Amino acid sequence: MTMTTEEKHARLQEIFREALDLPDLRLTEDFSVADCPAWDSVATVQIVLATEAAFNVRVPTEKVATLHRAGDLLALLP
Amino acid sequence: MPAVISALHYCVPAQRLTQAELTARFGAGPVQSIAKMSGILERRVAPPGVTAADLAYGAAQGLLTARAVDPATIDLLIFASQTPDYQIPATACVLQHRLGLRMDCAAFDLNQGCSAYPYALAVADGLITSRVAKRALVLNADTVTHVIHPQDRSLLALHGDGAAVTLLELANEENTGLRGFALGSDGSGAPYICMPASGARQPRSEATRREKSDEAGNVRTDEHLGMNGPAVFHFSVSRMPDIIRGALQKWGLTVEDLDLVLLHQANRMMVDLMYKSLKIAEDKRFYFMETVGNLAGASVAVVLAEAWRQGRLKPGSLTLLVAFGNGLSWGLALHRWPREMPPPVSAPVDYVAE
Repeated sequence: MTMTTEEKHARLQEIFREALDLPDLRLTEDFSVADCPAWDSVATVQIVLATEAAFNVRVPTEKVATLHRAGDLLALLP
Repeated sequence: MPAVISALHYCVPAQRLTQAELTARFGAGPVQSIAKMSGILERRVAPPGVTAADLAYGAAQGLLTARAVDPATIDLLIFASQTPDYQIPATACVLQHRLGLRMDCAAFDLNQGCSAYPYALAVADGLITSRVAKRALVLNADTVTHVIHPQDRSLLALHGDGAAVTLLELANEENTGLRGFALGSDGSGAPYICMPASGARQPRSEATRREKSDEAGNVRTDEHLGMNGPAVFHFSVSRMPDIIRGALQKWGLTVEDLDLVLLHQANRMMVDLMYKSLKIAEDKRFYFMETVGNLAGASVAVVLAEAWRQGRLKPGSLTLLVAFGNGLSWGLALHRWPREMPPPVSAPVDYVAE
């Protein structure tokens, strides 16, 4: 079953909230590493692995290398 | 007959870098976050002036003494490291002299990172089976902490320094020794772990000594080691299991045929995810990073030596060694232990200056 854009956004928001320990985070496409000190390399790994599991996708390693913005990840989802 | 590993030993600096020291420098939050993922709680760190070659010398002397090996019987020395004493000459030649080996002992360096151990074993195996050499010392050593900026917590929290020595000779039992290798590389990932101003491509200058910070506040210059942690982690957990499955298939094996699977001790979460992906049973797993750190090119040799010391290598058993890291590069080696297996080298592992 295909997820709507809203459903994808909501699921991704849950992933970011958990990885960054920010339960009230309102995720926007422009939310970036610069906005959040907790978004370090460990958090990036957690976000990518959780996204791959939740959406059954494989994020290319070259995209992981430059992942700095929530919108970059959202654009890769099916 | 292939070459067989007949003895192993390792050496680490006595100095420790603790969580308390890192917390004082970087704060509790980031240090705990890295530890939760890495499982590394203490690192062995070589003081200034102690090089990878010194640790390798300590390991080699420990093995030669404990096993009463006559240095005159060694005719091949490979020093695998990315932190050698010199760019010119080969550190292996310096070590040939320090260890009192014969002048007709072949000695050369092998420049490879965390995947160095299978590469060095493959080269030694090739030279032994082709009768170029009879008895080899393979030295895997790195002092990576010496090329990490003191304000780069992302790397400091993970790495330690260490060296391992492996004694190899021609197997004298059927179906024992090194049974297969799988080596590979993907240079498109070369920038992910890189020390930019470390060779001819980017000569050192005032500009390369300029400090810069990443988004997380890690500081480095172009003369220090840098790593894109997420990319390297992702490569390791998403590509390495397929590479391992492919090698096993090529060898006509399944994970059930393996008695012990030793992975590069980069960090605990990465190793666990790979074990899980490959469905490796708990009793075929082994870890040795919590108190020493990621030992780079020495990592897989040290974890193998420690597994031997802790009684995890059984006569006749089959061990798979898996290493991966900068390059990007990876290597697998498969080793069947002889039925007549010597005891482990139980000499002390702490480095003692000469």
